[in-house]
Amino acid sequence: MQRVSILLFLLVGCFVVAAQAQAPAPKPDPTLKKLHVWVGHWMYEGETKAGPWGPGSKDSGEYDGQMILGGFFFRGQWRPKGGLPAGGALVICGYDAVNKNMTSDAYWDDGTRLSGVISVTGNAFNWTGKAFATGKTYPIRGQIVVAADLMSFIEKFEITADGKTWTPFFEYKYTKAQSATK
Amino acid sequence: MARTIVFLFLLVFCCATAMQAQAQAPKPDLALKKLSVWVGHWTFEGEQKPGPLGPGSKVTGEGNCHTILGGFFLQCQVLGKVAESEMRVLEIYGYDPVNKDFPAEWYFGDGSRASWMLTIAGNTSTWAGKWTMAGKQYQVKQRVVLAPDLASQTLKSEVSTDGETWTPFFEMNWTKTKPAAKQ
Repeated sequence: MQRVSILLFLLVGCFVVAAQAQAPAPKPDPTLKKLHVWVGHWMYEGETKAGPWGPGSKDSGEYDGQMILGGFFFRGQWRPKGGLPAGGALVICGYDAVNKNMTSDAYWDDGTRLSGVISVTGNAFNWTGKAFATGKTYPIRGQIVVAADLMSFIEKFEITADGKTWTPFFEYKYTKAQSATK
Repeated sequence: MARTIVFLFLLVFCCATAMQAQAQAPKPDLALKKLSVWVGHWTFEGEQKPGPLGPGSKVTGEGNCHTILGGFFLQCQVLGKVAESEMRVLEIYGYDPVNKDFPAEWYFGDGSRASWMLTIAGNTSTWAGKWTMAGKQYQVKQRVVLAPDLASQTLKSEVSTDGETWTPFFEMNWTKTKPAAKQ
């Protein structure tokens, strides 16, 4: 009887300790699941317009999206066709639990940084923020629309130098592709 | 003879095209070299002080830093332990040529995030930023001092809930090391 009591005590103790250890582990906000549509291997092509923020360019290449850091952030990497191995761009998206919105930071291989917030309506991701390029800050806005079959998406961004007149900034189309065999 | 002329023409054309491409490609600001002191493999140990972001605990781990995107940014990946909890951080540092400071973002494996602005003078960097954790935002500041041989550094940070009262947050020593051989 005494052995059974000790066993039960230990068993309950283990459950309590395990429950305590598990309780504090944070989980990604469910909002972040909306970013899962970008996970995978994509081919892209499009154009960045020339302007005071930098030279324009026509680009194509590969884009890889994945959830990182326990699913709390999304990481996207552009690798332009024929570009430098270390070139391209990087984007990190997450969830801001203070302001209850999704955030997005992009880093380009000319030093440009984009920082903004994302709101989602159906298959449309609306992006509002700023571009830090060539020592200046420009407001930018854009929309990313994912096709109903989730196999492609189009992103169109606009930029303004004076806060009033918006002009096209860049426009790219992405098509889901099979991962290259390593 | 004709073959030689064609060959020379192609050679000159290729060189000219390559030079044009190089001329157009923007180059990282020389100030970004100040971040290069962090390139490499580091180990760290120290402590998180008891405060608004949790109880005091030992902190250990390692970090790897390298330049990315043509040298315009520095990326560090940190893997460590705070008490017995795993800590993963992705850090990205850039340069703002207008304000001549270095914006940085830290993305944590528990969803936390810190946004910093660094000023670097000599071997000392002064950091000011915001740390968002568990739905709350805190103000943070820290000072990192590199040893003259650039092979170690000390880090002391403070945290505030109101921007007026500051309490110690982290104190760490970082040492540059060679990465452990893969088995």
